[in-house]
Amino acid sequence: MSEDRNEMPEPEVDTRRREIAGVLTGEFQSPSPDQVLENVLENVLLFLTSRRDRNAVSLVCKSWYRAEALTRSDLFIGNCYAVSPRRAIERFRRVRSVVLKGKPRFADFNLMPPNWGAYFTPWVTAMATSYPWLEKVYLKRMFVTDRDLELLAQSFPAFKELVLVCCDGFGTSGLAGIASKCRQLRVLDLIEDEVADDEVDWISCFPESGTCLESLIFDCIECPINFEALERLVARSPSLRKLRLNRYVSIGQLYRLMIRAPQLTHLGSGSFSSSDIVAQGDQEPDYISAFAACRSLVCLSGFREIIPDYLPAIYPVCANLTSLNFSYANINTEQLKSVICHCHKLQIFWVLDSVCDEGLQAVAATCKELRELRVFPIDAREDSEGPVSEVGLQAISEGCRKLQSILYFCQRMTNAAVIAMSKNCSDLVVFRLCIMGRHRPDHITGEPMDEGFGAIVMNCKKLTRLAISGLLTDKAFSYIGKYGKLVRTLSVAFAGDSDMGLKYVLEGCPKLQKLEIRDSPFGDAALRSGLHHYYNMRFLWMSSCRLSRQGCEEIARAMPGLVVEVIRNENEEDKDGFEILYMYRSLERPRIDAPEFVTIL
Amino acid sequence: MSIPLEHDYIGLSEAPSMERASDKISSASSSTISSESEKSTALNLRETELRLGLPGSESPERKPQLGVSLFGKDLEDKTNGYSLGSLKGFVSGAKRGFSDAIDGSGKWVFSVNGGSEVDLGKGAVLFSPRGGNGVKPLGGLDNNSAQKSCMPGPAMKDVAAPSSPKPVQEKKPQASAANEHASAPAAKAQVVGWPPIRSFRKNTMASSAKNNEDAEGKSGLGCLYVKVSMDGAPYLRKVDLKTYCNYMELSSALEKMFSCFTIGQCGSHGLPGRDGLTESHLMDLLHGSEYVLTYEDKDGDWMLVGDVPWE
Repeated sequence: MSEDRNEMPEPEVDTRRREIAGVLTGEFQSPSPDQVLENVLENVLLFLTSRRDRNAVSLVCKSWYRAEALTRSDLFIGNCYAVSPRRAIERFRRVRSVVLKGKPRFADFNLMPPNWGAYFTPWVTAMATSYPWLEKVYLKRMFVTDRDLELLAQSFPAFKELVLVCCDGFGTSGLAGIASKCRQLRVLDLIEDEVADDEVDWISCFPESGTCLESLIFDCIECPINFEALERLVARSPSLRKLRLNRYVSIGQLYRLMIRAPQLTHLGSGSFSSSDIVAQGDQEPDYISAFAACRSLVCLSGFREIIPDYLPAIYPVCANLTSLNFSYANINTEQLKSVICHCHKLQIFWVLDSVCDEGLQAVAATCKELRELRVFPIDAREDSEGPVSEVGLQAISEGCRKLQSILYFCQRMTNAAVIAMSKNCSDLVVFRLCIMGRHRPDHITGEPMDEGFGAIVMNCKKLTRLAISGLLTDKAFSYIGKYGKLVRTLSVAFAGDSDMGLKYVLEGCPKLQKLEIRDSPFGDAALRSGLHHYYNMRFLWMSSCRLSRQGCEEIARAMPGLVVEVIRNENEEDKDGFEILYMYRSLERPRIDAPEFVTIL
Repeated sequence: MSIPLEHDYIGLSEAPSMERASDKISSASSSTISSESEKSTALNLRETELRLGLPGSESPERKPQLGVSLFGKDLEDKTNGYSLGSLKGFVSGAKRGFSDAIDGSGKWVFSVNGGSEVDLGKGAVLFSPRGGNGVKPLGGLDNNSAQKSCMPGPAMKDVAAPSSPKPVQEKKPQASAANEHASAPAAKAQVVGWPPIRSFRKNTMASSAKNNEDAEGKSGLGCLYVKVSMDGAPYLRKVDLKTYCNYMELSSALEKMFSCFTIGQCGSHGLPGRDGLTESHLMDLLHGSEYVLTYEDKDGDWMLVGDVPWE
């Protein structure tokens, strides 16, 4: 077991504390050789930041375990139910930064009823008393209430960074608390959260004297903000480098902010359209010079309601951009071409498929440094017209040889293009292809997409994350099991023929940690084939597959360290039927905060 | 093979064939039907399937792939590589022209790949339920049929039989005839959470398209949802204007949407003969009596629908 936290006994903390205190205050008690070694080790370990390395260190021996526990300042908890707050706090005493992840990713797509869990409250309550020097909190897919935010703001005087990704449960009143009470706040990043509109002017709640804000990201907030207050805030935040506005900020307002903050490195441009209809003769601000003044700008996003006429304003910064997010910008091929031709340094590019294959060809022609590409569908339905296809993918594979991560939504694809990408882009770490029509084969040969994905796992030796789609037989899974030796995350939907598919993967992929499967014909036998591996995984999600309750109960009995949740559809009458199996390793007893539609076996 | 029903395109004889066609489609789309029975039902119903063509033209071989498009737009105009090829097989069968069958105003012109969009659109209107000749709302196969006749329309997911995509594909051309308006009112049977796009992004694209509509900016592909209310109805509906190509379709769709609230039947089967709508037509089309389509414009004035060209 790689991350077992209860194999080692709890360290004897009090003696250590006294010794450390003694060293710190200068009362020198002559330490034993062991203690010297431990002190040395702690000082060395301070430099060790990677959590995987630290986990390895903690397994060496008890003394190293203790030293590591005392020196770990960044706590990462990939599943908030895998360990309880109390246990985490008891082991790691001096934490400055906490990362917590809650709901499984498929919950983002409405596959799970709401109110499943992942509450921040028990964590913040426990940390409030135990981690007084907490500086950073990063939450992903957690349920965070305004009270939680209030408690956070009150409890940590040194608090500096709050990053909430895909969270919900709070509103602008919670933000007001953070803004007003966290005097050292440097980072307030709200990314794709659902923020309730409590009609509180949280922007005005920041301290009136200068702030130390470095990053303010609120592009997901779907309610208007007090612009004048924002303008004043930007004016009194000299350290501000990252500013991402929501769609209620017009381009005229953007201009006013930009001229106050030319030092910005990351800009989310808000709506990028004018709020009023601008008449012909009106004098519009000189957007181009505003952009030109931002000499440090490397990351541009926003464009939420873009009026393409304004696009030329960004030309001056294109040459320096390393990251460009057009994924909310409904622009066509020509409009994209006019911009992308300048973006030679671009490494991260997110775009809508409205730019068509030809737009992607233009990207391939210019962006030779591209590392990450995401192509989102403007029309996210199964049978819509697909403006991008294998042509775009092929072009990208030929032009962007350094590509490491790709997410590509399309309506039609061929094995040939996927194979080409596997050969051209050997650095691929993340390959996520979503052919939106379910069970859709190679549209030229009519064959399943097995060979394409097989080539990806075969040729991309660094691949750790894979999402498959299209018509796929068990053969595809045999390839993944055979060649996907580094794969950690696998997403499967509407794929496979039989239990063999899942067996190949569970038996073949030793590094597999996160497996999410929906609507695939895998049953209890396949589930059993992973018993040897489930303790090494963060979670397994299977929804609308061929599992039975007995099968799941069998797993629960065989593996006491797993929490096996079966989740019903809320409307379903049949108490024995279920839609979702979600199981994860845990050091704790099953959670008590589960809602009624969740049964823990 | 029996002679296809040619007579009396309006009224009862038309409805059964449409209903059978829709039965075929809905039964085929149920996930329990094997492809074999799909084929058999398809065979049976093909015979009774309504085909329309220019007067005096020959009836072609009936192939599922060459569906009838009663409503397809003129496909030559399309620059989009839309997969409407199947619809191009527009029948030139030995069918009676419409003008005979229709009393009163209006030409009923079906063109083979050369017709005007509006005319075909009128065809669409005819086959929407009037006087109780309802095309059954279809549960399963309300898929891209709506799209087939115009720019991307609402997606009706085919939930049924994911394992048999091919039969489904073939059905689409026929489906388009029957489903044109049956599918319009509500998106049926969408697969939850597929494609895997976060709702934030979905909502954002929808709302930004709507905002672009309001503002001066261009609106791209996407949806154009507007609220529709009917006096006396307990709740409002929303329609995506992009799924319709002209006022005819919109009014028919709205009529269907609100038909549950009406008691009376549609009176006339009369056809609109002109491009624009006049008030009297609207009164005929919508519930036979009282309802008129109006909208509130930017200035807050209530305007009659139909005066401004559709674009």
